[in-house]
Amino acid sequence: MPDVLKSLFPTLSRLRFVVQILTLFITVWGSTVVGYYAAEKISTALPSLSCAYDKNNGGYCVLIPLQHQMHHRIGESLVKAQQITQQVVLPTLIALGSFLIFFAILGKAFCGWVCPLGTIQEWINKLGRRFNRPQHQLDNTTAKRARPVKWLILLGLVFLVPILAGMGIAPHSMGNPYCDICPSRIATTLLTGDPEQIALKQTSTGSMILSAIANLLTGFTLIGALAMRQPFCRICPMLAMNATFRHLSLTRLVKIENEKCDKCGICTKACPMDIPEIHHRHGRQAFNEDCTLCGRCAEFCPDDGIIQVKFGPFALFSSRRDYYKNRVKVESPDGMPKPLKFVRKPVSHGDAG
Amino acid sequence: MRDQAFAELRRAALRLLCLSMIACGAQAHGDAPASSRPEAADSPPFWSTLPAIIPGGARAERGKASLVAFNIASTDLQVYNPNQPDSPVKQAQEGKRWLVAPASPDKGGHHWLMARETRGNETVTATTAWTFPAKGDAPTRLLQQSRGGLEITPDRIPEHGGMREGEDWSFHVRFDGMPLAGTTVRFETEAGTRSLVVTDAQGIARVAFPRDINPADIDPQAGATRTRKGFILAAEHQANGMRHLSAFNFYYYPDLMRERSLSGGFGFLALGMLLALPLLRRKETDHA
Repeated sequence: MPDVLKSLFPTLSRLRFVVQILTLFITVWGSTVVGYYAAEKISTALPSLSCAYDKNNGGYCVLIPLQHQMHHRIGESLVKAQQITQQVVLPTLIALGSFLIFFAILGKAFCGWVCPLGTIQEWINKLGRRFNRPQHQLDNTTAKRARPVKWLILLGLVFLVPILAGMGIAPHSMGNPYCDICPSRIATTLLTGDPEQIALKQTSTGSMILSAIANLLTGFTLIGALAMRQPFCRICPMLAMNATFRHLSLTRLVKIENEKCDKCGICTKACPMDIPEIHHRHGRQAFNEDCTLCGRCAEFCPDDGIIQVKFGPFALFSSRRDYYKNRVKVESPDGMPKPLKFVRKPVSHGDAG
Repeated sequence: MRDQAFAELRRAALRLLCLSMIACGAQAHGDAPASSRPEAADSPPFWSTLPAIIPGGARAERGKASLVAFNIASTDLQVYNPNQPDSPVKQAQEGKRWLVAPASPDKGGHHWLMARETRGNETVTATTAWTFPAKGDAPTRLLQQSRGGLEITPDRIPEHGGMREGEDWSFHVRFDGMPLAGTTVRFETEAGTRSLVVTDAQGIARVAFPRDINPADIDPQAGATRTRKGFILAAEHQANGMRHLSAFNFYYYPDLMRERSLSGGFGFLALGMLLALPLLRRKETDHA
């Protein structure tokens, strides 16, 4: 069986590409398989930007119900000073369990393998490379400076503003502020042929501003991805959400200390999120908050067993020198595909005449 | 110092996240919010002569629905829930209203409500759908199930923003579970549309919701997502000396595009793309 899998998926990137095709179908058009109703979805608390505004999706992103709860439960309850009754806690805990189960199993792999917006950005970047667009990578300082943005978006737009809307301090139209700016809402609904979400809202000034930001972000992401890997993922609040629980997940990245690392650094070049810690650190610190578990660092590590993607105690993928040598024949660590070479088979003198 | 501040920010985020994750949960989003909030007790005269079940009476607490019937004298309401569609609950009137709640607090979702009155050789049925906030099973079996007599059921109960102006929706017309082909169905809307639709060979009536909602009726604060108008579909059928009249009433919403601009949306999208164009310039630089 493993040999069959190896022939079908010679590289981890090829396997991830196939998985991304399947998960893109499920997250964007999955209702054709699982059903139309919320009760039939795979989950209504997925740890990836699978948009609920997409009427054909197969599962919802957890950020929508989080904002809903902040607005309608917590915010309004703070105003009414209600006790949290059994009617709130019990169904809440039951529903929360589905999110935790998903996350505990796949963890950050939801970012690199399932998220439709992540997949779209990655495929656009491949297109940009094919058309020889210059590629931009963030240096260590800039990469670290960008990190607080996703936490601010998570805290502000997913939690704080909906609570304020529920309390009546912010307008009711601000009950869903992150969804109102999320590019995945626009990208996935456009993929289903639905123009409603890309249209600019004109209900109120606040709605119009948020709607404009969403369209600006989407346009910037779609073009920016041609020249930069995963531009939106750098500031994605779902990345921050997943980062919070990453060490609790069975699926994780593991790097052991290796003295050769100081002279190498290929892993950071290969990393689409430009994470310097995968190069300079090991152990838990190497599994950084920005990691999307794409596995490219493990693919391009030239030493055996240094970087692994593990599920519990089992290594799903481990860096290997011979794998690295074959991998770099097709693609450079920073993602540039190598040109195809056609070499004529040398004619031996015994065959001539 | 900057790293310290960032570490503090991250700790605060983790604390807030843990606290809120305990206090909240993932719940399906997209339930039609207006259908779980009963209207004010003093509702205006009903806009149709067809039988209907609509919100009315004193405002009920969260998780319950206060409903009244028009143009049908029935004291009992059959409540079918999606989790056990074969076991309806008979709800008696309290005063002039029914106070309906899910069978258990954690099992809500889309319910089917039916009131039936027999007057001599005529049977009149009013039906509607009601969505409770708590999650319930998908109503697929609920809608397919035959409850006897003349029935009109939607192909599906909307979950993503409701039925809207300009959209096409299918409704099944059945008698004792069998589709009725070639049956004329009356379609009336609260906004004033009156039309007729004929069912096809599979007993399906395809209704195109008209753009008949007066823009002045759209709440400027709430917008098109929270402004709704009622509609009723009704059919008649003669069988075994009995005249059957059955109606299904529900709600539809204004076309969202009334308050949205496609050109504006594409304009901002193009602007965003324009802002990213410098990144595509041939000269390769690393960001500083």
